[in-house]
Amino acid sequence: MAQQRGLVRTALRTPTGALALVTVVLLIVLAIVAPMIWGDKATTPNVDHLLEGGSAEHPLGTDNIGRDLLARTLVATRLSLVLSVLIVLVGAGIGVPLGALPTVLGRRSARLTAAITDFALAYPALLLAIFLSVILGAGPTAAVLALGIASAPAFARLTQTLAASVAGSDYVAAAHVLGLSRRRVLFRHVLPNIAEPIILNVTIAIGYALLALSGLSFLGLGVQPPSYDWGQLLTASLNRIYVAPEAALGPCVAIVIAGLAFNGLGEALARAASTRTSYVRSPRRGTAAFTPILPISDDQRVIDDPVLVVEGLTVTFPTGDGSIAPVRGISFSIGNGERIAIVGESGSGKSLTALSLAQLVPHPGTVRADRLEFVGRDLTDGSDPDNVVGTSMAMVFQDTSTSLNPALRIGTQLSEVAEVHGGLRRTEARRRAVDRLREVRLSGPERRLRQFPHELSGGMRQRVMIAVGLMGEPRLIVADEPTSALDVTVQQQILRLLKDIGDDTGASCLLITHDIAVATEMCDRILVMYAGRIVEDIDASRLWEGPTHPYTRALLAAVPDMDTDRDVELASIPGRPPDPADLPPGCAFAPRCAFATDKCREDAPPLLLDKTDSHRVACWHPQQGSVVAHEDDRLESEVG
Amino acid sequence: MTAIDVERLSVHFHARAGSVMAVDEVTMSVPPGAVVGLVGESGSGKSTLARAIVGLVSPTSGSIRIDGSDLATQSAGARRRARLPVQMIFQDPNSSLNPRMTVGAALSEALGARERIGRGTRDEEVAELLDLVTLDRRVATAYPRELSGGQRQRVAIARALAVKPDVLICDEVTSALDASVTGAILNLLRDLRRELGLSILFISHNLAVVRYVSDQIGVMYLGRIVEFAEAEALVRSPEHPYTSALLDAVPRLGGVDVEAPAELDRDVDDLQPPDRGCAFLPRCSAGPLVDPTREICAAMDPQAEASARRHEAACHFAKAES
Repeated sequence: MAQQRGLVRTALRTPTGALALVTVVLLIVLAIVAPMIWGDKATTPNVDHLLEGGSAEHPLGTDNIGRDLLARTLVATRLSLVLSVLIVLVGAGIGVPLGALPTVLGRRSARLTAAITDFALAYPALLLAIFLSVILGAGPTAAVLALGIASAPAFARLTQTLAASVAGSDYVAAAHVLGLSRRRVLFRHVLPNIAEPIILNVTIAIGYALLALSGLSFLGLGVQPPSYDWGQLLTASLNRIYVAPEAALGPCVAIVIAGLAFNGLGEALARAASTRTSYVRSPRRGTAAFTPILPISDDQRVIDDPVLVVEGLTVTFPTGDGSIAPVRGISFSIGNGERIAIVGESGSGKSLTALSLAQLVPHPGTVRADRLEFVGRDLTDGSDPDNVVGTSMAMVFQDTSTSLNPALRIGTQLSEVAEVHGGLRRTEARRRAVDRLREVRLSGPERRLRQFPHELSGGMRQRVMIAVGLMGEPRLIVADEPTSALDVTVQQQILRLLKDIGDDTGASCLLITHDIAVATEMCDRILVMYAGRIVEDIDASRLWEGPTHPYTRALLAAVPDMDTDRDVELASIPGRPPDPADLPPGCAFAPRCAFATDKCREDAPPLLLDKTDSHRVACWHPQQGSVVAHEDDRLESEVG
Repeated sequence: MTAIDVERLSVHFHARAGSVMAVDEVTMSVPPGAVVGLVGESGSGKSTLARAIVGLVSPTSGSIRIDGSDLATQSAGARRRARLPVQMIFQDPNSSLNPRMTVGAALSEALGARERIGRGTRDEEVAELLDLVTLDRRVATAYPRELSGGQRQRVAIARALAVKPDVLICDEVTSALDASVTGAILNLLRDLRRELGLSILFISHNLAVVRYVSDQIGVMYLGRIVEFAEAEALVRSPEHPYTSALLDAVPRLGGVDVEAPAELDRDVDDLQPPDRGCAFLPRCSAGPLVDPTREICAAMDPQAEASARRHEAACHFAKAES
């Protein structure tokens, strides 16, 4: 219930939502009190004032037996609303169970119910309503039934679609494995998870029901005199619309306002519901924990002719009452032909780092850096006049099913790059495309040009993505988890391909990955990120001897490799990564670290070179020796 | 007596282009108290096999025996009871927990699946389940979204343990988790196995993880188990060329071995298995592609002879490879 209340509050925050809610409340109040206040006035005939136009006494005029039309319009609110709600209740009452039935029934009966819904849905609802009310006879009961039944198929289809998506989820599978009855699965697992969108649609449907009911009454099929709703009032006033337009105006305005109010409220609730779900995923709002970054992470390595120099790179996102910084002042550089990996867990900021290099950080994030130079061009202020990012940086993403345009042929997507950035003519671009596809070792490159992405497997699509990157002349290939969605054998091929391309073209490579083993397989240097900072920068070859940051060491000991002793417990890191909105003052890893002291909890350690000149570590208490699993007896298992 | 016995089990899916054999006459068993690992790439049928065992997909043919009793011969109700001792843990704890139910509610519901219990004892049993997976008892009032990925996976494990199962089927349980949590979850599964005497069917695409937890390992390729052996034997001296290929592909720390054997450097995705003979033939480094005299691979399916050996490998030249 608390959730529902939160939903209404979020909906109220938008002006439309607030206005709609206020109007709906006013309408309900009116429906309750209007007959008590104006009931007599609305029904008392007055032979002295027949069919009058608007006057001070009767603002909307009077009807054919002299009843005040304003009073009648106000009083009609009750009947109009009550009937509309009843219509929706009938529609949802039939439709929702009908749509939910397939979840409970066996496969064959489920298909039959679905087919019935489809068939009913194929018939236009309003036509069906008119047809039904002709059969059922005129009158409010018939109108409610007719409109209710006519709207049922739409509810059934909505419920069916929603239920099907929930029924396919793992928690419903788990409930089946537990042997729970289908009825219980429906009521405990399926319905609660689809209730919200159904309630929203019911709200919107009230607006439509009101319109439809007024329509039926207007046609003389709905409410019959002496009862009256807005539609019926409209009929009575319409024949003198040229003489006294204000008489017809009353019910018209009422219908429009009520319809808009219910639709607006439903829309606002729906929007609130969708933003609220994304709220849960986004970091908790808190005070801005982002403080200026200490001038600590200068990359003291001297590299001749660097392809990329990054100093003090920070990415911030505004939140409700402040901002969070998922990347907090990192510095590194990539030499010509060098292959570097950024390793980290989810939320460490590794992907945002990659995106910020390509100026692809999603709105409303902002990127700041003390220095950001790519192939000698200054990109610090986010501008790129020579378009060096477009021509000299290639991006390879994880999800091969979304990184290529499904509607375009492979050939078009490849040659487009060369035509736009390289200024090549179509035939030349095509020749180069074939050439690049051969370079990424895709069989039958000429044939591939005519294929669409969905005709290729994941591994082949990833090859195409790399080929797209090669259409320019990249100096740096940024690969963000390029193999995480692929099988191991394919992963191996893609890694080797990236490595070979680096060797052949001299391009540098920045690999973003969560898998240290993958990183060591293809890169020269590993940057380990934790909570938006680089905590360790180490030669891939030295990782084997043992890194010195406790986080890197625990990470290595937590995942078994092919040589892990099967009798030894794996290491685990207690606790969970810090919330970017609520970072501890000192070292971000201190609360989970077995070696942390008061110094760690107060001062963030700078990323400094150790005695060797190729190893940087940000730790007050670096550990020595190779990483062996039993050393982590000190790290207790993850609790809470 | 074995915990799970699967005999000549097939699962076919009907697609527009015809039927797809997801699982193709698989025979395997999980002995009581043992951990049997299943590795294979996507599409190898390992998850479908697991879902068939717990009844989430219907087998096309073959039999599943749980604790000795054949499921096919039983009524629907009896089958449901017979399956209760086999519980499944899913890959993604984000989607395997009902977002609208507190941890306590989800666990009590699972407890109720076994037998009707009173409210008083129920809270106590929920607390005990949380202890079992080393979660704080206060977690009972939390909703899944308030928990970390590792904590959610622990809740999913606790839910499976609520019905006191004999067998756990773990389908890629660490794949969606961060590296720092993987170790903790694997440790927990090993402890639970020891404490509760559970049998585990452990499915993963990650050979290193499977090797670490399993006593025996089966390697699946295109719906079949092509090699089945003791874990260490399979890893140290694989007999099937596909197993060797998988082993070579495992990324290793130190990155020494980047030059993998050449046979895998082909468009593996592009290769269709032949109509007869060995399904692995188009990718095989031991078959006719390298040695033209080995025509038998194209003529005869090596699956039949495999089960005759203790270290089962469905390859005509398995011995020659070792």
